[in-house]
Amino acid sequence: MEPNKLEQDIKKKLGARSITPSSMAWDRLDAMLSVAEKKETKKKPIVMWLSMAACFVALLFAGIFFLNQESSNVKNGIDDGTTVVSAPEKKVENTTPAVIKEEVIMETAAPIAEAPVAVTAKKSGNKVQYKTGTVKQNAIGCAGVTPSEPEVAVNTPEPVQQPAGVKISKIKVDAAALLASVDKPSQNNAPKKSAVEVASGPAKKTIDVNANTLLTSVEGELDQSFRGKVINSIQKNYNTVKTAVVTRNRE
Amino acid sequence: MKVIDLHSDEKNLIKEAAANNRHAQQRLYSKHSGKMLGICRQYIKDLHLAEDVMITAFMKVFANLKNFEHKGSFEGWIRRIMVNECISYLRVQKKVGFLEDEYYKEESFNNIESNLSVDDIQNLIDSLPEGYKMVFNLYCIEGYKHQEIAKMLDISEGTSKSQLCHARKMLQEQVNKLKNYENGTE
Repeated sequence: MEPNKLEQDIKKKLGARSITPSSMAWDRLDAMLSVAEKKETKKKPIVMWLSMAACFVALLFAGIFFLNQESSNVKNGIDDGTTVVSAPEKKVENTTPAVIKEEVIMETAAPIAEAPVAVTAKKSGNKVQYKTGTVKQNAIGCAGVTPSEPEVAVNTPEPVQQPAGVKISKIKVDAAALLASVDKPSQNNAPKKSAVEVASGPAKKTIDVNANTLLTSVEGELDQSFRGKVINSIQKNYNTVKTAVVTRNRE
Repeated sequence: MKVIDLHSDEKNLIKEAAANNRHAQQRLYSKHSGKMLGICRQYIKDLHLAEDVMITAFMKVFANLKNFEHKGSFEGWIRRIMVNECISYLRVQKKVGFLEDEYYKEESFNNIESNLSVDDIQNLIDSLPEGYKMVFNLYCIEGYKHQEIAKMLDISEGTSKSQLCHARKMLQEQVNKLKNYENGTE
């Protein structure tokens, strides 16, 4: 349906038409524009104030979080590696499989001479002493020992987490020192100990920490204290915002 | 050269008005208000109401002046805002009703050459029902397509076509009556 001549005429005439609005029209528009401007300028400080409050709250949260983290780290001794974590009692009890393994290794040799020897094993900062431990020793091997001859291997117990026999570290014992200690069983244990320690060389200093238990305990403490602080701070901030809004509305 | 100067002048004026310069806003208003009131008058019979709608539309123009991208003509942009404001006003007043009538006949109307004045034309348009009038204005004067009109008025394309057909028919009849009256045959 194409527009006919009448429609074209209507379009032309109405398109060119101009109706002068009343003199009051601009005044009304001016008033409306100034009201709108005032509203905008009122809104801006509120937005600024709100953003400032939000920043303050965010900073507060961050501060609380970091403080909490620091305190928890000091408590658990994570930040300074010098603190020795005391191993739980269970670890000592669970060392039996390692001892069994030790005996199996030693029985492969023919005649065995048993001698009570005090062996100290240093492992991961925990001193686990085997005062009643026995070192089975090849008598022949000991008799024909030359000072440079190989040493007796003694298995050290592993911590609970690691399965026994997976990591068996060998402590090298000086044969001459060991023989001397056997010859004088009644003597003090102190020199023997030192001999074993000397032969073993620099012991590896590793901190054995049960990661799971430690983490769970830390998380528990952290959650409780952090939650409480956060709730307190939220309540404080909410109250301040509420009072500010109320005072603003009154104004 | 003169045209370019005028264009740049309007661009600066728009920029200043967007920055809430009241003087620039007044200049823009006085430049376009006459035509815009004419457009509002096409849709709204009462001149005072049409002026109210125009003022509301100008408020929207100044509020959204920052969004004007200078891609098309500024007048066209304001015109569109005016038309939309008139439509929404009539909708709020519930003055527009569209019969979901999809009957329309593609017929060629008589090419009547009329010497009608603007006031006569306006009276003819005012005599149309609101629905017919709106579609006629949008299609014949603003140049929208049926698809666009259907979208704007939330009606089907067929309804828009049928409304236009009815409006044309009524206008033809009215013009013929006027002609007969002028010739003294009626």
